[in-house]
Amino acid sequence: MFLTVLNMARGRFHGDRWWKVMRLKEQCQHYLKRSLRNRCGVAYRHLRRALIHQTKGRRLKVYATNILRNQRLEAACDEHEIGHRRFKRGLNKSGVTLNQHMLNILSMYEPRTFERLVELAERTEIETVLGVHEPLPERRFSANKINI
Amino acid sequence: MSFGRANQQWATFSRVWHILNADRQPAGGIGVLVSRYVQGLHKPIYHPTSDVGDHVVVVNAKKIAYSGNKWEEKVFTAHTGRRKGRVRMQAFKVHELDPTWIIRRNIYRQIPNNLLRRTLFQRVHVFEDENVPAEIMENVTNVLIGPRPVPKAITDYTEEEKDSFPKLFLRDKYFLKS
Repeated sequence: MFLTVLNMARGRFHGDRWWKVMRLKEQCQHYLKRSLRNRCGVAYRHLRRALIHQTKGRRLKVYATNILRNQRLEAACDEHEIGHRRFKRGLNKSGVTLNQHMLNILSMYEPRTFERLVELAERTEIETVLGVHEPLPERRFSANKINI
Repeated sequence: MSFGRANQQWATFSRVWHILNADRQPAGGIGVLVSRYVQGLHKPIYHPTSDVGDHVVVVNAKKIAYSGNKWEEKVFTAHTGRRKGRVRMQAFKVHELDPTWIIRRNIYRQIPNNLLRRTLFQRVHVFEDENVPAEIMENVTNVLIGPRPVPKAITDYTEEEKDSFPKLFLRDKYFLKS
């Protein structure tokens, strides 16, 4: 890392090649092989590939996080004995606009809130679709429930 | 962290042992269910690279059910790699040779094909009947429900229920072959 702005700027515009090399090396200091830490031509190839992967990975990361969040939401709905589609439908109808990320956080750290959301979703669906206020089944909060 | 919260943390991240009775259950459905629990997809803290899967003990693997004529018509194929090495075996024969093979194959194939598969498969314990070693049984704390609602077999009915069941006609010696 360069301690002054002057030093940082020095290597950028037709400056001493040493500064350019330094700027490259500070990205490669964590490489395990000694040749990659010292030989800049070889290191440049690795670094360039890594940066390309990072650029392409930005879109893939979004795709992967969406899948993961969906899996977590399905697991949470399973714990509370409701279908995940039914849950989303009910929340949509009742106007609750929490996204998947927030629902995951609630299901992990705020379980009682999530339980109330599940009940809200069920009640909304029953009242809007059937138009009748039905009593909901008794609910126990525990994972992997057995109906005896 | 306070005392109660630390306990909650331990409980959330501990590896749980489940037991599943495969009596009269479909082999494919068991594969899906078990692979789900072994990967940890039933937990809201799931992540593919963190080790959140559980152990599953499958019991009564000998008594799985296939619908239709699959026991006779379903054929498992393999090739040894040598000449004339094609092996074809009907499902009932495979089940005779190794009663746990069909279930283990289904579970293995349902786990995603990556480097974690073999480790996760080691956490699946399949037994052909109810004899489970004591070291495994003392870890089990949860019961899983199978995918199929089990129908009642004639052996499940008690004598009183059989006698009191309504009959269409009375048995007469004249109508029965003696």
